[in-house]
Amino acid sequence: MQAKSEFAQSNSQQISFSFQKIISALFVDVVLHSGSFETRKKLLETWCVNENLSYAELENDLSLFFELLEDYRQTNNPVFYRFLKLQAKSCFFSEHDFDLLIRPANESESCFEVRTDNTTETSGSNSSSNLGGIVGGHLIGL
Amino acid sequence: MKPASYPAFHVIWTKPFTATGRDFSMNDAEILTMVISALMWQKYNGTIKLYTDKTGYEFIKKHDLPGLWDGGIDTVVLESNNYPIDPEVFWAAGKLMALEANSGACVILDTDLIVTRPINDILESSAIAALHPEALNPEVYLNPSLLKFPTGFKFPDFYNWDVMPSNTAFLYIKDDSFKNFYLDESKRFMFHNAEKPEELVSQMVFAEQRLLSICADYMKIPVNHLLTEPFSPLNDCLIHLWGFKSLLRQNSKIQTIYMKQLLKSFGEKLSANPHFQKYLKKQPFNS
Repeated sequence: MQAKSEFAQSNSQQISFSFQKIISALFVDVVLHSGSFETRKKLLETWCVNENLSYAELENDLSLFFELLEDYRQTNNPVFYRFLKLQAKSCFFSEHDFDLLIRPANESESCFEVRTDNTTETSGSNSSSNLGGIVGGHLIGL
Repeated sequence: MKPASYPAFHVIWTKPFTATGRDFSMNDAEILTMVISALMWQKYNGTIKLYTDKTGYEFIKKHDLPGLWDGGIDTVVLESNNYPIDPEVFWAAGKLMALEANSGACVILDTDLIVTRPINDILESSAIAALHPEALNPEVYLNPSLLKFPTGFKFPDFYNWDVMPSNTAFLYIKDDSFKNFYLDESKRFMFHNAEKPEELVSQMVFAEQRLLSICADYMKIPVNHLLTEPFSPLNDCLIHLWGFKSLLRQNSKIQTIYMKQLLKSFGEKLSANPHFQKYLKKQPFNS
């Protein structure tokens, strides 16, 4: 049995279904069609006011996601994928939709071993030669 | 009955940086990890002290952290140590110097390791406890013929080269007799041993991690590992940044998301801790 994560799996603040759809549309547009986040900012800000949500925080979270997405596209680093998935939750983008939209570069990546490289090396991961592992990452939701 | 309390210590030895002309630094994610490491130990397992040198202390002062360690800060042990040890090759030797200065049962906790719950149940039954066993990867744990050693040095015949090394990011030693034996063997290897290897891992991990297991094997003391293997999904008690630090140093976005996760996970547990609140108030990432 896997040890229980102490991290709340979903963003604790709730938003309306309509706003979720707006955010999903933004993700699809930026990720699939190279759309611009900039042009949607005014719309998002209006929605945030209506939903009693901090726009500054959401903008920061979205910017962080899209910047990391660029890094991921350049490197195919599976760790970046894991962090993208985590950050998507902070942006109210569901895990299910994320999985549909962005595929991992290396699907065999272990759930518990976070590496910095994208090699398939297996030997030596259990020693100080390990260059990317975080032990117990699942305890903080990684 | 109140559970036993285990005194622990962190070590920040800056000589490996300063002796090679580099400035000592830790990034925000490393500092936050260290803060949570110290406070979570205090919350569940006992007091914690910091051993550092003058440069390390200046760094701690600059970040307004001297109150973090309830066991205080010692700068004398590392600052005054003049052992003939090359700090570039033996970059973790400061931990062994601090261990030597401690008497009685104690825990060395790396600053990038967080223990998330009371572990007295594990330590009570241990004479030696380490984080996890390490595979004998020949690129890291070199064949003895490939190790550099001081002039006139010979590996003793009693060394059992087949025992698995122990990761010492967490190390508990109950008795001084074993501790002294281990430290003597380690010092014998490190002293006047300045020939540079091709990389800067193998010499250090031999002196610290492999020798620990070899010495324990010789003295027939079992090493109790907190984890049977590092990435076990059964791990319910600790987080160790380990090699992940290199990625945190390379990518600021990963660093930000990691810190958010740490705060989500431990913020509430430490919400009543004034040191934690004071630390958080000063962080730009928290504004």
